[in-house]
Amino acid sequence: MTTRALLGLVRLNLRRGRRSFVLSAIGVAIGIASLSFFLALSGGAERVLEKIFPVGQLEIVPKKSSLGGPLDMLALGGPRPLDDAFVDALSKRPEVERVFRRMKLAFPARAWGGQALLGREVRAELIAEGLDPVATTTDDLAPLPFRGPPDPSTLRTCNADTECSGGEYCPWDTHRCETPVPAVISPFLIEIFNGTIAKTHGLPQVGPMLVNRFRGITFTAELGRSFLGENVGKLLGGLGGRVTTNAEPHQRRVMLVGVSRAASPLAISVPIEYVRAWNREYAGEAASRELSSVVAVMKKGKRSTALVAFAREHGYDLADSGAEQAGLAVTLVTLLFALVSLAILLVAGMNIAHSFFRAVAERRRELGLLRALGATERDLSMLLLTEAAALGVAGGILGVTMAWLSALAIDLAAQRFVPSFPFKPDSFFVFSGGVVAIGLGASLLACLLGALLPARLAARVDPATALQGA
Amino acid sequence: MSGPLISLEGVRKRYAEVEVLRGVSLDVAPGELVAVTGRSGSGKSTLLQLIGGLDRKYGGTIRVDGAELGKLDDRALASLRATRVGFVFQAFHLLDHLSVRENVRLPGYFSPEESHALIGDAGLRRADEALARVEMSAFADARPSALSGGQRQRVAIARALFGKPRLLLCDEPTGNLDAQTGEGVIRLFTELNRAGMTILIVTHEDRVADAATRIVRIAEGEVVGDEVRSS
Repeated sequence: MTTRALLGLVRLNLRRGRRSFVLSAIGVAIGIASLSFFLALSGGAERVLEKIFPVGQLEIVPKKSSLGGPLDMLALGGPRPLDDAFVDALSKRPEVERVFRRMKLAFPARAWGGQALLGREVRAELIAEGLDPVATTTDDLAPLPFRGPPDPSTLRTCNADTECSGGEYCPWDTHRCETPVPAVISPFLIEIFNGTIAKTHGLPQVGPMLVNRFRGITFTAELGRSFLGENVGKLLGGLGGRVTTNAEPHQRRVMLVGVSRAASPLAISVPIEYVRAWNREYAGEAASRELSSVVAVMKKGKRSTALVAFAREHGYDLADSGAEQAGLAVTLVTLLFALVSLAILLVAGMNIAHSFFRAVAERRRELGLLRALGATERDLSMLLLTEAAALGVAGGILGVTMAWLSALAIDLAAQRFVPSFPFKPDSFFVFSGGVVAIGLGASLLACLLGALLPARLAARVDPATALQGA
Repeated sequence: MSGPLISLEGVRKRYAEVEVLRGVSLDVAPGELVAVTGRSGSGKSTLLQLIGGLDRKYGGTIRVDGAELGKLDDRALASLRATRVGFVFQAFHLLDHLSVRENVRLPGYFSPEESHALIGDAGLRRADEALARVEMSAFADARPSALSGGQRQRVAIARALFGKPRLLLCDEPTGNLDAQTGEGVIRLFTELNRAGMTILIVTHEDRVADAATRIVRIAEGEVVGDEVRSS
């Protein structure tokens, strides 16, 4: 029997049993709807997690001793510092695509500014971190490039800002025209601002438009001085044991140039060479070499297991981002709901098997007749399996549509009734091609498996016996 | 064709402990209208099923249109049924979810050579031709349940004729019909036979046997009489 003939015959048969076909399809659709719904929800949760925790990368940090804090320094040699030599070794690993370094300010600093953006000047301790410019290559940053300080010998001398041009200014300590220090912030920081600070302080939320507006905004950073007071500042720095007492405070202008996922989630990130130079000046040579962390971006499809072992062998640890636990929780919940959905699907499959067994019994004479008219055993088997496949496709489409409509309703309700919170997504669901394919595939599989035995039974119908009698 | 259309040599068939056919040998030439008669349980219906290839478990040799059935696989046997043999049953076996025309063109779905054409317009045309041959064109769009017994049997004959077979195998075709309707069906068989169709009818009714050109009598699984009549 040709495919066209088979489909023609299936169409005739389905026309007969429209009601039972629709009922069976609904049974399958319920299982598929729940499976697709939870898979899409899991996809949505993963998307949010990816926003919070960068995936495909590992952040390696110096190992903390059990003593903690400054007492680390009293331990035998303290934790092994993270340095450029390790970065070189790490970047040569086959599973690593690229490596970027981070270095924290090792001394107190403070900052003020923000009048143009927030309507009033904000003063705060400067929490900053140095970031490898290589980490921001894919980010859209303007109006300054995110790179380290130029060679001072190439800079023009000056005595006042008016002697400089093109956005440069004249720091009183160097007397050379310098461009502001470029800085990037993390989208995480924006989410926290939008979800909590903006709401509680009645400030406008930062969307893409406002992000563009604050590009180019400058503020002043004063290095080596704290709002908490000179002594407290020295004490804070002293806890790390690095603040030199004779370094003079200096002011630098810092310009926000954009948002980067590589930026520190809770600090302003500036090119690492600035921080290195400042640490050298304010906290000594050792502080200019010690990295706070190294981020290894994995090559696509590579596993991190070997890299984790490599880091630990070298006496380092992994930053505990919480991503692993959150990811595991999502996976477990998804797995649980997927199992429930599969159980529903299994029941639907058994119902289908039952329906087809009944159909074969009821249509025994008809199947015998088809044999007499020229059908092979395979034709009858294919006839039932194709009917089951049609049921699977219909149930799959219906199920995925039901899941999609439910998700749409939930998203609309969430937009309307659930207040904004950090990382609140526009949609809680991701209906990717994979989810649709799994939904349709599972439906098809359940129906085909359900019809497999009845189809074999149909093929074995003895026409002589089936056609006997009046 | 010079040889017989049907040739049976020592055909045996057993159901459990009961031997239904005991070495039946029979030749049917092309163009014959043969009535196989006998009492209930004599094995005549079983003989028809074996000749039609509906039952493959038997002893002996059966040849239909030159093909030895015992040597054909399921596919070849199905092809033979679809193209060279037409069946007419006592219970009609029409599918009530299909129209009369759709019932008639049902064999077209399994016709190996022409399947592609026979499920399209060509199939509908051929179904209409078959219905015209049995004078049922007016009922082409009706459901079988709306027809009388005689009309249903005519539709069943039209379905058997759809594949333009060389051989028509009929199992008690008038068994469910009243005398007058049965006469009409018998007349139809006679006309088909005159047009060259070979027909084998299993029956226990004398009126059907009277229309045949040859009567084969079976009793206790054996051929006990073989009478050629002048038509």
